[in-house]
Amino acid sequence: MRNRATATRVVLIVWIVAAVGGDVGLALGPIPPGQASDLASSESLVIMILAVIAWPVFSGVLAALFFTLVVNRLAPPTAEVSADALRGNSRVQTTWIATTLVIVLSLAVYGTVELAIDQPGAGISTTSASLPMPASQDQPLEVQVIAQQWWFTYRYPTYGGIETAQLVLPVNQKIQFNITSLDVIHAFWFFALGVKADAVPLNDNVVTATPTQIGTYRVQCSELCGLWHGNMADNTAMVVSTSDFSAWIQQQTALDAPIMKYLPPYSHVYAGSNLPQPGVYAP
Amino acid sequence: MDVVTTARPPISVRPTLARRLNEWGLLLGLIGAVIGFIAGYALGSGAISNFYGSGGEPTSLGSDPGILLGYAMSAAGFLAGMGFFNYPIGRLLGAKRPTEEDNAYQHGEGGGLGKYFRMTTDHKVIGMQYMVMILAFLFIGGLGAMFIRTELLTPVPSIANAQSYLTLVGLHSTLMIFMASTAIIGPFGNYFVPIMIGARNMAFPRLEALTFWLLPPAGLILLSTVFLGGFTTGWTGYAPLADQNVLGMDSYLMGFALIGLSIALSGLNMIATILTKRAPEMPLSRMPVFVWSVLVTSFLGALAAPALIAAVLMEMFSRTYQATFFIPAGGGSPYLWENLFWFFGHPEVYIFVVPALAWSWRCSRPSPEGRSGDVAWESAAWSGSACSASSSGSITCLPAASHPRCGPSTCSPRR
Repeated sequence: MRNRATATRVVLIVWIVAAVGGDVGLALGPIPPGQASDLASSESLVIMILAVIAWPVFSGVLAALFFTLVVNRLAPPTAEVSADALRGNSRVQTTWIATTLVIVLSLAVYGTVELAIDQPGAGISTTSASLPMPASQDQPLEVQVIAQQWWFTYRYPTYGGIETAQLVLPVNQKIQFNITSLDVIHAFWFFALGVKADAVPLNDNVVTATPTQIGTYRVQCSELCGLWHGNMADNTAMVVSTSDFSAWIQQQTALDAPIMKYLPPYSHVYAGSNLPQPGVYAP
Repeated sequence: MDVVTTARPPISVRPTLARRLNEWGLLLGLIGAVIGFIAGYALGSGAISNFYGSGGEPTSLGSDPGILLGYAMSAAGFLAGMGFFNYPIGRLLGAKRPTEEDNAYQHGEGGGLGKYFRMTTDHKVIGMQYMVMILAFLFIGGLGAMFIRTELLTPVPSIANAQSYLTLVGLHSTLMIFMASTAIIGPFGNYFVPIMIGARNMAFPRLEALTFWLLPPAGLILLSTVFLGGFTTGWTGYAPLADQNVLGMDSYLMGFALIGLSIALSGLNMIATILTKRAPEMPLSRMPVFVWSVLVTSFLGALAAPALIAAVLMEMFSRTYQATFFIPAGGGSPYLWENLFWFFGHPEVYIFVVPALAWSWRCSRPSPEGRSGDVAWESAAWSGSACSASSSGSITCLPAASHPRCGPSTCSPRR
């Protein structure tokens, strides 16, 4: 570099190019968790907005660090040098505080608005009553996720409370996940749909999402729940067409018919009183 | 800044019998620990268990009340052997105040390297003790990380079964986080804060020694979980799973209780020292940034650690006497453990980072701090304080402003 001024300009230009290029890449590229449900799409959008704002700030910090460590070095001193004390500069202070304030406040406003407006999301109910839904909402399909050590089962109250070991969902249908646990704290994580919620005993956590893409996905537990927490996952969760879903439900109802009388009645939480009693299974 | 300390003439320390015994403090401490463990174990498994009909069924290794009381009394026995109860009990029984010579001996005047292995009230010695202990436990935690990586080389269990693997993961995280939670304010805080504020020593030197000597027993208790079957909850110890665990969970709980106690006491000691023992020329507005960071961090520690101690105590009762603090069927809530644990857990990470940031800020400056018009000092001090205040609520900083020694009457504006 010919002199410090040139080097400074180079660092500045590299930062601007990296910031803009990175932002374009973030805006165009695939952002997790993807577009497989309306909830996942909304989460991807939020992550993208935060990343687009954060990347220029982060790359600016890296550029400033490089500038300080490499470009702005003093020449090796021939005598002991003590730098001047930093002095106040109102313009720098005001610009700094104003810029960071604007960035952070705009993000706070954005987040608050997103929280407040009506959209797919979650709620927690600590009683057995379900989260009350406004009358104008589409009728969601209620699917209960029961977590226990160390697997998930799923109950469909709309179809007689049958219990299955595999999660199958109809596409383009609003699903209401009621997530609970029988013993310790687990967490139900359906990454592709953007659904993750803790499964707490005697608590009913509600998440709503509408799957939009047919496929086979992974479901796993994401709260350490004991010895086989690492095994508490499978790749067999499916989103299928509505006709395929009806066929699957009929098949499961037929399979479940002999054991329905032993299943506890459907409830949003299961306590000792409505868990299967010992000795009941013997025909 | 010009801080004048007068050097005292050296005091000759005669090797009396009591002092020679104290040289063997660590050995006496270990004997006390063994005696304490036996006594506590007998008390827990025998007398109390039978009386209250606890459900802590004994296994071949012991029962929950036995192990927990054994750990507690072994820690007390260790401290007694080290000599921590000599002054309080002696004074309660009417002994005279310690002489200059006694204080000098406790301060480490009489002995060479031995002062690092016994109860010493010299803050520099305590800083060095902290440093070595933290490095040792970080190394052990690092070995745990290597263990995890070796196990994860293959997709099937290779060198550990599920219980051992989860225990090692939990131990790795617990040792790294908790034994190093005072990584900066322990060694650097204890060593440098009195020097930076022009004090001769901390406000409560014996308490300072106690905050250090609580930690080696806590680390050993944590490591002893491998003899009791280990714990499967990881370092967060979430509640309903913690009730299900075998005896090894008790090591985790008692280790956390001692570490929480150490953090709380250390915080109180630092606050008292920084607010009362500054040199007269040093109002708060002229205090170095590192001391500011230690001050606000100590508020965090003093306020947050008791929440951890409370949570751990509740879990101990849940495991021994079927208290249902965290069982919904018994009227409790699993969220309660999560809440109490993270009431400590979030301030904990600020305890990690605020002194470390202040120290690296101090190391990266081209000129010493404190020149007039030092806007960098102001921004660093204010942002560090705001950081800590926001993480634990504004009530942490109000008491400082109302203390008579550092209110508006004493803190003059910067000249």
